[in-house]
Amino acid sequence: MSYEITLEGAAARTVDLARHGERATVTIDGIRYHGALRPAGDGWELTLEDRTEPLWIVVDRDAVFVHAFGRAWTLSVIDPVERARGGGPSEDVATAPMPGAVIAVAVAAGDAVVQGQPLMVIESMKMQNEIVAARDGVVDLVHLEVGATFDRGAALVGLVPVDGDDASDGADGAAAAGAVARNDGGEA
Amino acid sequence: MSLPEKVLVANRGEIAVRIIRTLRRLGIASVAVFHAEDVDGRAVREADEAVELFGETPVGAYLDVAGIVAACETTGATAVHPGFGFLSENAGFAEALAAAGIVFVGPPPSAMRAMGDKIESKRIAQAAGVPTVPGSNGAVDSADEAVAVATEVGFPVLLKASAGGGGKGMRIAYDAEECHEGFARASGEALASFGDGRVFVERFIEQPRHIEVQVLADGHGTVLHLGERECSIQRRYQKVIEECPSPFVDEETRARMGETAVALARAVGYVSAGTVEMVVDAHASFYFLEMNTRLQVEHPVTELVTGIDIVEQQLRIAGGEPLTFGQDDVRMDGHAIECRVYAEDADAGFVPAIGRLRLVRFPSGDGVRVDHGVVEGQEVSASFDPMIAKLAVHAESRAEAIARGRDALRRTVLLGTTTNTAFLERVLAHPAFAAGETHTGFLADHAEDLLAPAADADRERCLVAAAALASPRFDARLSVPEPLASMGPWGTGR
Repeated sequence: MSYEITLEGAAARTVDLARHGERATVTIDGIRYHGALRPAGDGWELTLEDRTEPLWIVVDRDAVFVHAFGRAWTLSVIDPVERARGGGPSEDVATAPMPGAVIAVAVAAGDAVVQGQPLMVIESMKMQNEIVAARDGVVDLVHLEVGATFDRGAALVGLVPVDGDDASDGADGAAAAGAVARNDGGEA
Repeated sequence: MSLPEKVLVANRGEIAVRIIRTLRRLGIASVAVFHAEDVDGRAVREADEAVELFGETPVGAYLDVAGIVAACETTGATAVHPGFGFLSENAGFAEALAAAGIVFVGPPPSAMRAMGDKIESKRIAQAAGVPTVPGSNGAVDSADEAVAVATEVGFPVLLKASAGGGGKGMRIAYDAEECHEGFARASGEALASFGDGRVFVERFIEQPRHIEVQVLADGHGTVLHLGERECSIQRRYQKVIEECPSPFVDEETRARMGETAVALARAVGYVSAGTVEMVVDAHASFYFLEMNTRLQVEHPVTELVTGIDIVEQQLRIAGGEPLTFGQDDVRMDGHAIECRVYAEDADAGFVPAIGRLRLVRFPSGDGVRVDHGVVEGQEVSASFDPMIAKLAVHAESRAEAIARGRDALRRTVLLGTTTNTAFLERVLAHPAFAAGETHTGFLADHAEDLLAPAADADRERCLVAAAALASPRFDARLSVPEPLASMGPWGTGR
């Protein structure tokens, strides 16, 4: 069974693993490598073909934190089957990067916005931060009012999805957005 | 007069641990106070005794004056060290302790009050002959008045909360429109954070360096300085890298800044350790910013370079002892750099990160000092400041200190949340930092250079393979191999 492993902003790699005792064959995007991960010192030692690297690893469900090459890296392991069953693209909803409270709301449902445009001002750790649009689009729903508090990951402002086939939802938005909603390619 | 026998540390995290370390060395018993969220913290473990405090919020517990006085009475602590933040600059707290016959390890309340208000402190500084940045004489009442003052002293201007600190309630404005908007924002933030919405206006100095002078004053009339620290590397007006000495300050400027700081300390009847913060322009002209009437976060760099334990001096001064050295005995030896390790995503605009510190490995070795208050398995929550540790290095030259700092950062392993160690290492590695071209806009100006480089193909392959070998996903229907089992299936173990 294959999984997708993604290193931070890089492209997802399709990975398969077959263990043979202590060693394993790791197949990354169809290329096979011999590898092993063994405890060493206060951490681990990775062997991949003829390369050996000291590293530290923590696994937290599908997040894998690795300290190697002098810094920490985060990788995610994704089951492509699970992903196909649910979960929309994250760009559609601006979520809270940390817990806090809503200080100001700059947009309302139906407003056309461009990438980087401020949607909301939140306050966390006594600092004010702007929540900005991740892409061009039309505001679908402002989830919280001024004064509301929220936890990390809470949905703040949703944009009308721009999924190609789902035209009926996008139509109103595109009309309101006029020329600004560049992403609504299907409607043009 | 002599050292107290038992001291309560009214703080948490790394600074509580650091104060307890000096108390232990001096043979003084220590009492920690804690909110339930910190019960497993390092400060509670290292103190001789610990007393729980309660509050509506975790921060509130550490602001509970009555609870702290009561904790002194139950434990028999005769003095309180406030650390920094929380109650450290609260004159009312110092007075409440005094009323209960408890020594406050810090300055007299009158000096705290005089320096605690930015407008009042500026007046005192001017009267003491300390140069100040041109601006409004006192708070401005409206956005229109702010614009009028700004037009008079010249743009750009800085709008600053009178009661502010740590960059909260601060805005830069380059024109009248920004000044209007900045007034509202700064005032709103100040009101929310400090319950005091007063804002004043002053000229913003371009490419300013933030340089501060450490002073020590005893109760017998001796006031001296321990040289300067440069803290220009800031994000969101908060310091992230500090060094001693400043790469910009020569002997002559150091002496002038030191004399100025000492004069101000004398003018307010200062006793204990304090810091006079100054902004320095490209021509080495310096202007008074504020005086922090407490220990500073970045005090370790001064300790490394001068060999003086500032907390020890605070305790001795609080015990009524005179300073046993003079200005000429203070020597600056080598160069020290401190990096503040924060749980934050530097690449995403420095947003605070939370999560469990699942794996913690700090570096050690010659010239490496780590002040931290965390234990493995600890949750980094949004309840407190997201600083995890202070990593300070000391070497003969600045270049060697930079190299040592980079190596120490690379060896700092903190897994389970996002930290800024790699970002800090890129800052130290930047040619402009090496050249000493530091100013408070450094991180913004070099933002592009400081972005995390993507992993090359070789490294990415190693990391992906390591993740595959460690992930329990691939073993869902098989037994977990022995070495990996110790990491805990699905990472729910500690």
